[in-house]
Amino acid sequence: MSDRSDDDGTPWPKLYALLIGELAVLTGLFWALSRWAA
Amino acid sequence: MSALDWIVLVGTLVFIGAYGVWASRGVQTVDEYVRGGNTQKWPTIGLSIMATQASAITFLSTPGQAYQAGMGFVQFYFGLPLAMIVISAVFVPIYYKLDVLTAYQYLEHRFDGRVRTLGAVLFLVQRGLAAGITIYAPSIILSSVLGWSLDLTNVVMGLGVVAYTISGGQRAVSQTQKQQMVVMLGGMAIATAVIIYKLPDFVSMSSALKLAGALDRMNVVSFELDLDSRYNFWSGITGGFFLALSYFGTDQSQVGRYLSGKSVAESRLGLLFNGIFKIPMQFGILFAGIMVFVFYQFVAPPIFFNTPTLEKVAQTAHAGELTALQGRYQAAFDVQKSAAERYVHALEGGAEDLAVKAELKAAAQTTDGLRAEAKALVKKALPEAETKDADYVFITFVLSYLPAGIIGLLIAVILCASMSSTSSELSALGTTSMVDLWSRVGARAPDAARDLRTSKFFTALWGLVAVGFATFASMLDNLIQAVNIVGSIFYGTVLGIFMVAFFLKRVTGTPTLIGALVAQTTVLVLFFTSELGFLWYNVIGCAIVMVVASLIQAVSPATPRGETPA
Repeated sequence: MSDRSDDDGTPWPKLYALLIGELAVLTGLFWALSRWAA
Repeated sequence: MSALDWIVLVGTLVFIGAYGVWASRGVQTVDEYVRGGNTQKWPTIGLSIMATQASAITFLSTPGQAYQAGMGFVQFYFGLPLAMIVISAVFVPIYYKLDVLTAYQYLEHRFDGRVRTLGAVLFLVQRGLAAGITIYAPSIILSSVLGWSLDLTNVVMGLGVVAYTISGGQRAVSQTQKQQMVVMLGGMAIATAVIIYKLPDFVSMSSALKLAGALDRMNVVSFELDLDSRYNFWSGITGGFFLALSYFGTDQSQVGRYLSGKSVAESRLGLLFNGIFKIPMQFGILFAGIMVFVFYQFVAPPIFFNTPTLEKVAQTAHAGELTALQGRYQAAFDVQKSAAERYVHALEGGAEDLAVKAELKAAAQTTDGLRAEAKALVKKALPEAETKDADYVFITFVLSYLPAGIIGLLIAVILCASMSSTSSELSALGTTSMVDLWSRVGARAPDAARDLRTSKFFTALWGLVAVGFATFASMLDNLIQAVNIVGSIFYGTVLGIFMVAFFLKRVTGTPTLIGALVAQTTVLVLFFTSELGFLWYNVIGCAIVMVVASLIQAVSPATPRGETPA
C-alpha cells in the first residue's frame, strides 16, 4: 500500500524554485546562443 | 540493413520485452495491474513519464524540424516545467488522498457520475484513435525507407506491445520504459557523437554553430510577440503550459504513470524529474538535427528526402524534368558548398567574412528554391504523394552515413519510442474502460480474478483497435490529420473540467457540464472559421469552461438536489 500523506518533510517550494530557476537559466543561455550564432 | 544491425535491433527489442514479462510476473489483482501495486520509485516514474511522451515521431520528426526550420521548436516545451509544479502541488495530493485508479474517478468524487463518464469517454475516443497513429506513423516511414511490409510492421509492433502490457500491466509498462528510455537516450547520444565526428576536419564546433546560425537555424529563443509564428517564448510558456497541464494532469496515459508511485513524494519527484530533463532532452534531439544540417553543407543532400517517392517520380513521364532539376540542384549546391567552406575558413582564421556570409545565404536561397520546385514536381507527377519530407531527413541520414550496428541501434530507438508510448496508451485505455465504464454498469460481486481478466481483455481489445486502425490508416490519410486535430480540440475542454474541479470549489456538476458543452462548441466553431494556431485552443477551451461554469453557478438559485459543492 502506498503512503498517501503529502507531508514528508521534503522542501517542495525549494524544489519548485529550482525548476523555475533552471527554466530561467536555460532561456537565458538559449537566448545568448541565438544572439551569438546569428 | 546489415546482419549486425539486425542483431542489435532484434536483440534489443526481444531483451526489453522479455525483461518486462519477467520483471512483472505474479500480477494477481486489478490494483497491481493498474497501479503496479504502488511500488514505483521516482527514477522509474520520471523515466516512464518521459518515455510515454517520447513517441517514434519525436525521434523521426524533431531532428528534421531543426534541419528545416531551426531550433525554435524547443520553446514549445517552456511551459512544461511550470505545469509539472502545478500538477505536483495541486493534482497529485488530491489523486492520492482520494485513492483513485484513474483521473476520471476523481471527477465523480468532485462532481457526479455524468462528468466522470464525459471525461472518460472523451479520453477513450481521442486516445484510442491516437494509439493507432502512434503505431502507424513510424511504420509508414520505416516500411518506406527499409522496404518492410507496412501491415507486418504494424502487426508485429502492435502485438508485441500488447503481449507484454497484458502480461504485467503497469509494472511491465514502467519497467520496459526504463530500458527503452536508456536505449533512446544512449542511441541518440551515440548518433550525435558520430554525426559530429563525420563533419569535415576543418570545421570546429564553434564554426559549425556559426554556420547554422548564418543560415537561420540557431533561432532557439525569440521574444517577439507574434501570433502568427508558431513557436516563440510567449506561445511556448502559455500555450505549452496549458497543453502540458492537460496532457500530464488529466490524460490517463500519463496520470497512470505517477499514480503507480510508492508515495506522493515519489510521484512528485518523478514529475519534477520530467520537468528538469525534458527541455535539455528536446534541445539535444534538435541539436542532432542541426549537426545533420551542418554535415549537409559539405555533402550534397537529396533534393527531396523521401527518396522512395522520388524514385517513383523517376518512373513517370516527368523523369526528364526531374533529371534536369537535379542537375541544376547539384550545380547550385556546389556554389553553396564553396561559400560554406570559405565562410568556415574565415571563422577559423579568427574573423567573420560578412561578404561570404551574404553569398552563402543567397546560395542557400537558390537551393531551397530548387527543393521547392522538386516538391512541386512530386505533386505534379504523383498527386497523392506526401510532399512534406521533414520526417525523412534524419532516417535518410542515418541509413546513408551511420556505420553498421549504429543503424540497428537507431531503428531500435525509434521502435522503442513507439512501443513505450503505445504501452502506456493501451494500459490507460484498458484501465479507463474497466474502472470508469464497465465496473459501473450493473452490480457485480467483487471477484479479483474476474476483474483482472476483464482488465486484460480491455487492454487487448484496445490493442486490436489500435493495430486495426494503423492497418487501415494508409487508406485514410486525411483521417490521420483529423485525429491529430481532434486531440488538440478536446484537450482544452477536458482541462477546463479539471481546473473547475480543482480551483473553483463552489461550482457543481451541471454548470460544469454546460460550460464544457459551450467551450467545445466554441472551439469547434473557431476551428472551422479561423486560422488560429492549435496551441491556443487549449487556453480558450479551458478558459470558457471555467468562466461559463462560474457564471451559471453564480446565477443558479440553489444547489440542485444530489449535488454538493466540494
